[in-house]
Amino acid sequence: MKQNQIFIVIVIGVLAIAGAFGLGWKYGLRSESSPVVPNVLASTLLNAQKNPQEDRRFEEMRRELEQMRGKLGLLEEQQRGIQANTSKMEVPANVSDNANPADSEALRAQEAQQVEAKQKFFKDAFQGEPTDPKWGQKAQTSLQEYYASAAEKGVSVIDTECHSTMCRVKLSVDQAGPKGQKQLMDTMNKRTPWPGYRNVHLDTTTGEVTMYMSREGSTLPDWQSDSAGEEMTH
Amino acid sequence: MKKQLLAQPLKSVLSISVIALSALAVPQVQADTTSTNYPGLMCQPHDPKSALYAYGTFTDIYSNELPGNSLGMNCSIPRDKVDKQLNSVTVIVSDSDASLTDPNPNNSGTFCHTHNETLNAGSIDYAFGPYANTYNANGLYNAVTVAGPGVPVSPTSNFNLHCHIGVNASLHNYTANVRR
Repeated sequence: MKQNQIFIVIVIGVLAIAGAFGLGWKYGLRSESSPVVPNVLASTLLNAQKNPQEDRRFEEMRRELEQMRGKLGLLEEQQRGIQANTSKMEVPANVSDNANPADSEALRAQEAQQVEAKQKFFKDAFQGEPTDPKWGQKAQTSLQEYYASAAEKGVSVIDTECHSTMCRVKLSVDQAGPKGQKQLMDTMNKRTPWPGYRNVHLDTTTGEVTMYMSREGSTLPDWQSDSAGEEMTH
Repeated sequence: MKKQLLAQPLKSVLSISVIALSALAVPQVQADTTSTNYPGLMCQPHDPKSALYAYGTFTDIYSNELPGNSLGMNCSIPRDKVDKQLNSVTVIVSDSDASLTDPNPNNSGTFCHTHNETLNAGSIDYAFGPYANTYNANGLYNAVTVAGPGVPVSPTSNFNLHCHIGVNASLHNYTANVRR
């Protein structure tokens, strides 16, 4: 009987030691594989066997750790996504003050070409448009009368002409410098006879102004789509 | 029998749920528009004369112009916020210049438009969007949507919102909606 009891005690003792080693090995190994888990955890685990309060604390720490791991994983994924998107992004044109003078010169030349192409595009579009006599005549008179009275001092109406979806108004400013520009802007900022899109070109050397205005409910022809490939926007 | 009777509606509910969840799982088409909100004080009267008739609170700009006139002002839209094109601007105004019995927006002293200004060597190009009137809101805040100028941004262009507000009207804020 005594021998049996001793045997049972030994078996229980061996199992307890094996269990403790097993747990210690498990958490000890995890702490080595992840830098996030401090090595203290293994000893905390062993000590936790002694105290139920410490045991609960250990469980809380373990849960927090798992949550942190999850968050870290998410952050890593987000970072990878951002890096992938950044590498796909187009590099914008360098138009800063630090731009190479040669580049700036090339940009100005390109702009000048575009301005010329744009004016030609609008001129061709307007001239090629069929006329709507009923609307055209009314709109033409309306614009003529409006700019004759609304134009600021120093701004004169030269000619107005309307076709079917757009009108062309030619104006002139007495002074092509900043004063003339302001007078033109003050004129242009007033409420027009109808709400329409306007494209206004001021030649700052001659003071000539050409304005194209769309009919209400219409838009001006898209000159950008016509000059595909030459687009300077980014 | 009972089981069959119950199974059919359950199947339907399950099918609908699966379809709904599938629809949710499909990536939504991302809006290509972003919006930036600016306080009314980002607007400045565009000449010294009209500046005399303007005053501001911490967010609004007010007009105490004489009846029959309106306060013209430029509202800044920083170019670095516009990647491609200014789609539209939503302006929040309080327009109390018209009489309470006149709801016709065409008689309102308040209207806005957008414009894009491009400086070139030897010329300046302006693109204006169509103006939009505000309704007589009898002093209440009212939103007006103003179309963009219809041209994309270029390295040498500037965007602007231009508004005229009538006597005792105020511009509270505006939101630039841009295409990215």
